[in-house]
Amino acid sequence: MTAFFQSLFDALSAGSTYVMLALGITLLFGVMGLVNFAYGDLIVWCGYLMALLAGWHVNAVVGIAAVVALATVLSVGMGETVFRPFRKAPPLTLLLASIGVSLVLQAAIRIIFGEGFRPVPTPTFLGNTVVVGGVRMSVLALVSLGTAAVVVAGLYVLLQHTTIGLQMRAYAEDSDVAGLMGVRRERILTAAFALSGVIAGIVAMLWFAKIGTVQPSGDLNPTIKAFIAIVIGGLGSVRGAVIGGLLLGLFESALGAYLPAGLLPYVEGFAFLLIILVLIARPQGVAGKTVELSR
Amino acid sequence: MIRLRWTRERGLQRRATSGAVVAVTVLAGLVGAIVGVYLALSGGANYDLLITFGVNAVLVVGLQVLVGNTGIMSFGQMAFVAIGAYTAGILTTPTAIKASVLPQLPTIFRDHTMPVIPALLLAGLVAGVVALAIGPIFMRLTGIAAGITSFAFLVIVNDFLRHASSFTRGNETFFGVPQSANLPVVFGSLTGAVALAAIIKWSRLGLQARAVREDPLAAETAGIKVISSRVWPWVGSAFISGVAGALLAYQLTAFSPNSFYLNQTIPIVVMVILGGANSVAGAVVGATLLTAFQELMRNVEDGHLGPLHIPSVNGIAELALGVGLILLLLARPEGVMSSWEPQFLARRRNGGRPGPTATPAGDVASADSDAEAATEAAPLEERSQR
Repeated sequence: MTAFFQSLFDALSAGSTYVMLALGITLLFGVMGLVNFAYGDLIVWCGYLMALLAGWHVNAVVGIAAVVALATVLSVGMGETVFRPFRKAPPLTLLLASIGVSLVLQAAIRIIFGEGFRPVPTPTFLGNTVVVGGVRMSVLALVSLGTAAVVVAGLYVLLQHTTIGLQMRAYAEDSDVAGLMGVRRERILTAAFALSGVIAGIVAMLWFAKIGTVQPSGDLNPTIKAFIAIVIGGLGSVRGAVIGGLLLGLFESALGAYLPAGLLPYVEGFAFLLIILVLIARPQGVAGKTVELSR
Repeated sequence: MIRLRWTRERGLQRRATSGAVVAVTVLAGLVGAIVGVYLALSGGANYDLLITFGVNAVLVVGLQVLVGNTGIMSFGQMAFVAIGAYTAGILTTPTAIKASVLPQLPTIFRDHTMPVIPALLLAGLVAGVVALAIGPIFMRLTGIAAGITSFAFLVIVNDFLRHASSFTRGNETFFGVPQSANLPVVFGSLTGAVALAAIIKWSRLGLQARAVREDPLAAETAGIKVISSRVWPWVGSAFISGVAGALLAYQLTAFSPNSFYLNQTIPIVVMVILGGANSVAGAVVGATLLTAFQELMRNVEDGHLGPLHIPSVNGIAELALGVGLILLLLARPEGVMSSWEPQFLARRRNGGRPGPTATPAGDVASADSDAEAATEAAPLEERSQR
């Protein structure tokens, strides 16, 4: 029984990171139909900043603020310069443009820092563990769960109970009509990219606290996890990202615990098989109902 | 009397379509001939680059068959390329090498080898059969969902190749494939691939697929089966990609599963868009332009810009590709060739009809205008791009 609760806890803590990864991408898809392939590169840039800050012995609060600020500035920057001209383009064009952005961001890292791994040191207390009823919980996992809960709750309140949230939802529904109703459309895009950037900054710190190193091509892994979570849950909705992220965590944990040892190396393959099955059975995702996939 | 014309996507008229198939094929053959003459005259200068160009062109034609006919963008085409490469690799590697490198290979593969060309065709066939098996499921999706699913397929195939060590050596490099990507093999394959792509495009099935691409609902109302119409371009695309994989295996001679992954996918996608996703000729144009661009960038990365010497910086090529992709999508999302294709048209002798005249719209340059205008609706625009 303890083993079961242990893997459940591990699943939830891994899932909470995936939820946050997914939120940053799903937000932009919901608002403008963009599947942002460059999202993982925001996280990689944050990782390099964290590596630098650790070398300079910066105060933790200042460091956190700096990382979140960098991700926000980068996200808004790419939104304003690259994606704004494409706001009427079909999702496939937007996806391709984001691949272009991803190439640029990754190349910039490679030019500045070169190839190879860099350690990203994080405070040692995160590695401590607490044992509750036989279940070992690392401080990092608890922090990650708590942060995810705060981020999800904050995003929910923002989208459902503030004016800018209402405007964002109106823009996602129909940008032209929203404009006619007095929504300042250029602001909505900026706000959505800023929000996505803030989430990227937060999740980057948790991600690298777990991984410990950063490299220029480190964007692929977080992006893939976020994609799986979004597709399982349903593209474009916050609820879908939460459900998809948690399901992915559970699924990985279950595969790790119950898959025969011979098949263990194929975990990633199984995760993607799951995506294909979900997309074919329910193209709108497990939790999705409003967003049309091939819009 | 036969004239060469440029045309957009045409209807069913057999004479017109066969003229288009022949013209595109001749164009591809001509590219090969020019490369051959250049190599003969220059004594083999830039040989590797030109072979790379030929292989790239086959890769791009493979993807174009899918994108052009169905409007579905696949990010998983490298899965078929990998399948083709490993198939051809296993079939052509000398038995002596296989006995030591792949001892666990089933004996029928371990103790026999195949000549280059049959192995090439078999590589395409294996990829095509895989595509046929999964096609009816995959072709239910379009747009973003199809892009993600095809990428998922690539990850699965990559995962499988990395762990099926008795066939592929897993993560370790598969080596020992004879270096057989020479001029006739590569450019012969290109001509064949272009001919196949043109036949698929202008066949009845291809026309059905393109009708579905433009408007699935209207096509279905007209009696076209939406999903099965997409399956044939998908299978043809996989076949050509498998052949391209075999060519890559012959060119590289040593490769690993990560030689066929996301990093290799992106340039192919860019080439298809650059040339014009709806045009077979555009695929060859896109491959030409991007191969030249990448070669230039590789030189810049190494510190040469023509006669100039600049500091060598790693990452410039990637940066330029990214910026180029964004600018291309902004400036000309339909690609250099848009949906234009070359076409041979036979001029009729009887009746003293006037010569070919361009229609007021300017985009339908039709030789036998009244016959075709009666049977044909307005040319299909590349609406799927928008």
